[in-house]
Amino acid sequence: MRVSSLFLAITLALGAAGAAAAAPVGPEMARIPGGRYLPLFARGPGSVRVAPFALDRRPVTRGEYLAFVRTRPGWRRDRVRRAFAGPGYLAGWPAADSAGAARELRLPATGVSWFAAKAYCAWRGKRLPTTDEWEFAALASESARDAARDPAFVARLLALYTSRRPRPVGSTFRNVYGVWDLHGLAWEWTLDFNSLMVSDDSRGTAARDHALYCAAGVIGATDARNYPAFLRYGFRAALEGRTTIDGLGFRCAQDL
Amino acid sequence: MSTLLEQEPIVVRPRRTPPAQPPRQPAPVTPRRPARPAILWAVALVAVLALALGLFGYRRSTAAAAGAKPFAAPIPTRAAEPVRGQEVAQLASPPNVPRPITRTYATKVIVNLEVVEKTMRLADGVEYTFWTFGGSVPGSFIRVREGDQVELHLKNHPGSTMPHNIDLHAVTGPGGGAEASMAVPGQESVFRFTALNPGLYAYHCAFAPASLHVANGMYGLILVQPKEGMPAVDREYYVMQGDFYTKGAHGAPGLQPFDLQKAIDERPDYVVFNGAVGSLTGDHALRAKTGETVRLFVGNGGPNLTSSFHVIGEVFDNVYTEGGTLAQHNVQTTSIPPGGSAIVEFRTETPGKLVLVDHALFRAFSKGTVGLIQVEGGQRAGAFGGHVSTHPYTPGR
Amino acid sequence: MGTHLRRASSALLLALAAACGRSPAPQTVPGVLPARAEASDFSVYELDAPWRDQDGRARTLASLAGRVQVVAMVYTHCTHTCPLIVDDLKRMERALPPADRARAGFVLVSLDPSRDTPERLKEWVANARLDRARWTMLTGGEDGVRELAALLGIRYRREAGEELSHSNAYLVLDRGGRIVYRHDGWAGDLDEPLARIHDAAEASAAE
Repeated sequence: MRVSSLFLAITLALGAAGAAAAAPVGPEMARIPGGRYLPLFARGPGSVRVAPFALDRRPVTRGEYLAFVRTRPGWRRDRVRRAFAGPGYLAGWPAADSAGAARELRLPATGVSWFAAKAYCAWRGKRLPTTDEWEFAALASESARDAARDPAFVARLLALYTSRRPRPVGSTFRNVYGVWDLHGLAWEWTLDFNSLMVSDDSRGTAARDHALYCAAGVIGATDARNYPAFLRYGFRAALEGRTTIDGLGFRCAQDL
Repeated sequence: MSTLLEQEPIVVRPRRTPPAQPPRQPAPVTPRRPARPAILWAVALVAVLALALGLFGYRRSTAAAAGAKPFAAPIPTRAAEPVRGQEVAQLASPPNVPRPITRTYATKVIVNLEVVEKTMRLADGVEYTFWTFGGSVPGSFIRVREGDQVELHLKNHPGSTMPHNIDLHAVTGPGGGAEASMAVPGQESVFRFTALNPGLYAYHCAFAPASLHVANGMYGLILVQPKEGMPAVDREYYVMQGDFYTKGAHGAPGLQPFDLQKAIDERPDYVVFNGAVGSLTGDHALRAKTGETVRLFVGNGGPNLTSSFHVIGEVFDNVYTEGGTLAQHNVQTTSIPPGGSAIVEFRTETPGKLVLVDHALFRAFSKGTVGLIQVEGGQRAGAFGGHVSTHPYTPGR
Repeated sequence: MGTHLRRASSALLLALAAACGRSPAPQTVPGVLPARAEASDFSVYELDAPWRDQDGRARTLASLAGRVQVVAMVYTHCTHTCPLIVDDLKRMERALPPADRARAGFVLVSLDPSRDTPERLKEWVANARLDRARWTMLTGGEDGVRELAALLGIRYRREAGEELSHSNAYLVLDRGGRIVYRHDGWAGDLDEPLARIHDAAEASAAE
């Protein structure tokens, strides 16, 4: 068929013309235009610049992760290196090489560690999104690029976060960039999840504790009412590279 | 909408009449006798000295009792007691309290506390997803003895949506233990602390944002019994007040999500004892018999409101205000701030219903801060006379 | 435990570290007690990213096996707490009984691989007067650094400009690379880590 072969030719040409290292951005990804945003914990004045990037429209599913585990058996739960994943790795799966019945394959791939998520994304020629990239994309509602200070949106996110239960991808909402399920389906890994200096007792700003952290500049919360953001950042601060949690999954990103 | 307060007769507290005194007898008069001046002076001097010493002693003892100089109470150094053996703490779910500790030495106490997020009844037809210590709101009551070395195992159920930790106000240490106790879902964390100070202390989750964790019910009480022990009473109960903020108004049915704006504005929809409207009424009323001594361990989880804790039909014989070791007596209403506690003790005198309330009455009438102690048994003579008569009153005749 | 001596020797460095400038936080507090954790059920040496040491030699983390290792993540352009961490580790080195010292090593891993080349590390080791028989400095790739930090529970971030914010911690690894002790903040009391080093040195290097 001429249209499809033309399409293929153009795709290949674009792919070849693109950066040598980057794989072409597939239709399963959305292009997020760059911009500036104010993170919940901002270092110094001014907001953070996020360069344009591509982000998976949906979280990685169990079915997709199963394909990875079958191709890379070193990531099976009965073979994974202990340094890469804690004992809860893929604990929700019925067997080491089975992710459950057909409808369960549409669930987000959770119970995976950061090392595992990273390895999956590398296998796909992608990477994990940075925290800034993820937070930037997550500012968006269905219609606005930045709904973070809209009290109705904040209330909705809070309700989504606290009523989470296992549901297939595509169950929450599609934001203005065409990205689904950033909120309310599963928490998601980021590449630099361990870049935030908060202590486990996050009532104060522990980054001011100079015995524990050498932090350039004081880190304080920029929006005391952004409870969904507090929940996300607090959650990330509790993670380690090997951590696996039933409600923690991931999606991949790519440079543009 | 359920009736929050049963229709009780108006209770009039009888006036205390002082017991009848016998009439005073005039002092006997003895005739004067002349005495030698030297002896008189000596006697006078001795009398003055005795009086002075006596007064001085009296002043010292009362002064010592009152804290001789203002702001001069000693600040003790608390040396760790030697610890013998170990035991697993028997926790209790509200409104019950673990048995009093009778051992006379410090031991290592292992506390196993599970964190589980669960949907439960907040009021009739109303459900809320609570975050709990031990599956209840308030969380399990922990009872230890001054000097105990506590090893707390905090287990976060794998189904939890959030990491959790615990800050016990009894702990002297970073975050009250919060920094040492964080557990992500599916994880158990263990930390140890020494119970240095006796008293009744609140504990709560302090994971960010702590206000939300507390608003969802993550609080409870820990009693550190003084090493001298506590006198036995007939009944001990555990009551903890909390305020809840829901999307729907009070009584709106269904599973209600948390409402952040109302929480920030401190406008709760529910103010309740022990996590739900009616948790201490009807079949769940507390029980006592007349003539029994009752000790209530009362806490306030907040997150926002202070409780004006009062029991209708009772006077608190003892109140250990703020859960500390100083006793106040004959108290009607005691103030319990969020993150605070009080121990109240009284003896029941009459059968009937004693009503626990937050005396900020709109909370009791419209938001659920009502509990009951059902007192059964005989009437103690003279305590309450009861109704005498009712007849017409027509002013101006 | 030699508190006054420690404070005196650190006074000069403290003056330089004014930017992070608080006096060292006491590690032991009267109430909360350290719980003796079990060794981790994994080995840090399972990470296979490539590294180079201060002599430019290619190294893997597994090459550190066989000795008890005290590990910290620092960077040479850090003028704040990194010198204090190193100072604390040197104190530990001096405080070790000779039998334990012979079986222990100290590893400093750079958080700043772009600037911390092997040549830079070599110079730094000499300036800091670190005994090369026992001290290893490693520099790798950004990905390897992120992975090791994630495994050790170290938080770090590159700020605008060239500064790095990072958590202060050191860990003791047994001969097989399992984590047997972790300390956050500056070293206070050394009794616990010295005891763990001793225990790990005595234990056989079982995998």
